[in-house]
Amino acid sequence: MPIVRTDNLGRTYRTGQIEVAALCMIDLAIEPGEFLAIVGPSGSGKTTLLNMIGALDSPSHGKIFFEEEDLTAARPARLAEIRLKKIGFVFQAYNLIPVLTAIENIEYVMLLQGWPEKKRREKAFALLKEVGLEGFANRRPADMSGGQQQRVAVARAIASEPKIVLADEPTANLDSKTGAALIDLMHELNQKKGVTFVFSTHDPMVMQRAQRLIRLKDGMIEA
Amino acid sequence: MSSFIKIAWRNIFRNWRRSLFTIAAISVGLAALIFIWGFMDGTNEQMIDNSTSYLSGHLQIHKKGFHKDMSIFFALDNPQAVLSKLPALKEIKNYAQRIEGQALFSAGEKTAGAVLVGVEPEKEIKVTTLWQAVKTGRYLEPADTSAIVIGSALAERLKISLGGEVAVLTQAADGSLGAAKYKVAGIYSTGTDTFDGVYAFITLPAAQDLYALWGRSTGIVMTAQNRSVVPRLKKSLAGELDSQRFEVLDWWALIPEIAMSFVLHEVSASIILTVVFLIVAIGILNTILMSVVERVREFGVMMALGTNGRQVVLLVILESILLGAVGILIGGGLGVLLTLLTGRTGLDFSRYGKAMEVMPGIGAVIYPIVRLDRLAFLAILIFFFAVLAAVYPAIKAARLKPVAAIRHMETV
Ligand SMILES: Nc1ncnc2c1ncn2[C@@H]1O[C@H](COP(=O)(O)OP(=O)(O)O)[C@@H](O)[C@H]1O
Ligand SMILES: [Mg+2]
Repeated sequence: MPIVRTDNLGRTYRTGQIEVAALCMIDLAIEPGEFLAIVGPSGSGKTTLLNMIGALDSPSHGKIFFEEEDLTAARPARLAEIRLKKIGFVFQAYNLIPVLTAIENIEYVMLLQGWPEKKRREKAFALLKEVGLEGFANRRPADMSGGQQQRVAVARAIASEPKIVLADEPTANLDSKTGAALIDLMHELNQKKGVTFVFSTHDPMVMQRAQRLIRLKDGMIEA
Repeated sequence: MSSFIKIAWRNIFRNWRRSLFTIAAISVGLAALIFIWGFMDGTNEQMIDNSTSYLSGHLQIHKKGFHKDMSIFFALDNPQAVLSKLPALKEIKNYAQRIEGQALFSAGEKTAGAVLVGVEPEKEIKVTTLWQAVKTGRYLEPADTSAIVIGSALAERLKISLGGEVAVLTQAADGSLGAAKYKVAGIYSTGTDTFDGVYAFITLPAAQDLYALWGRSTGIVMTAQNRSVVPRLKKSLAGELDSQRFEVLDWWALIPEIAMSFVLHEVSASIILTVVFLIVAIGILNTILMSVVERVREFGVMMALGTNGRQVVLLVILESILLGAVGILIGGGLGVLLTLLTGRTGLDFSRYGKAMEVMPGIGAVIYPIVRLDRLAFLAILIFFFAVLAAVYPAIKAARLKPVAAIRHMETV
């Protein structure tokens, strides 16, 4: 069973009289364990697609299924629950809650899920170690580099053991070396723990490392 | 919950300048309110205490109809019957009988109208304090038969001094004309014309002779253990006495001009209160609204991660409550300190003495007081305003769409 499946998915934005088709006729399936990159130039619809997969936005037409559950028919509360329990997010930048330390940021998702404090702490420390930042537990985001912040975001995204982690241009704000290291980290987690990753990028260096590519252009999948 | 308190607390420190400013505004506002209210309460207390202690006491019992125009024909028929009920009432501290009536005073060529009061000196000095205002001569003694104590303003009008002779003419209860001569044994001066120019005192037996009221009096004046039990005492008295035949008057009714200024002070306090609270509330609203607007993307991320609307509302309101709580602690501390300090030393207004004399019962030195009920009221009100001011920003934050909120700063 695919984790995510879309059926003729489309999303249009209306600004005044003008209608923009950000996504059009998207048919795709994401299987467990994939390390998938959505690539395409700026404005091609990468963010729109990831938002739809992440149950943050709903399509204008077509259908999207998460573990065969029809998201277009789900209530907002159910969507929030799916996000909380089944999806991890890494955004382009400013991912972390500024007033929380690295360890607390990782704990936050587990906190929302009602984990007991001790278990939360232990898991968060283990994850921090896994992303190579064990010495940074008590740093606030402002005292960490962009690459370190993104690593913490990755640790947070996998903390609740989601079915899928969605990363929208996670390397866009990083220099190429740091960006490559972040993708390596994600790949390692994918290989070692079987975490399913979907990330978007327009950087050729980054897309190289993907196991599969979906190319977007003007809101459509290129063959 | 406790985690959200931690996050809220840290968010306050994040923009500490703005938070400090808001907390300072709340603190100064609250401290000012506590002090202003304490000052007014102190003024009221002093005004009421002075006025009631000089002459009126806390409560008076008359025959029904006496108070309206102080007519000697409304004397108590059998004061002993009333007096016998008083020792059983625990709220009563002291009481004394009086005869009060209007009379014409003359000395030499001068005449003046005034109120002549017959008192039981040994009891009266436990009920009222006017005797302490005797500046020359002495107060009455129980055995006095022809001694009179008059106010300085009345003495001046009659051009009379200590040892001088005053002739008094009045209507007696039997319909005859009462007339007598007294020797000025003492002259008192309270500094207030409403006393010094109006009241003269003789002993109760002398007054009974003059007014033809042997064995009778026009009223009983009493003090309660403290002023707060007056309403209760009034009720029990009313229960003991036939309301068709007796009137029981509290200080509120006895000195209506005091009651008036009391109400006036309360009204001005509430006006100041409202203005200060509006300023404080707008300050809080502004701070919280700004902090929400600045953090749109952050809220978007939090919601994308699974934070629900209720938790966002909770977080924003907690931030406001914490600001308010810190402000309440600091402002409350400052306000209480300031009020206690000035309450101990007193605020001397003698430089503005002339203006103060116009107000009945107020001396030159005011002692502000701290009242716990006022403190609690103000603290709860600020707390309430802090919550109220955060409701709109909180709902605004909770209504954010994560997608739009995250895009909000994507290009930055
Ligand atoms: N909220 C929006 N309102 C109107 N148009 C939008 C909105 N979001 C995205 N678009 C448009 O949709 C298209 C796809 O955008 P996006 O998904 O952000 O692309 P990408 O992430 O690949 O840069 C673009 O043309 C963009 O201008
Ligand atoms: Mg994008």
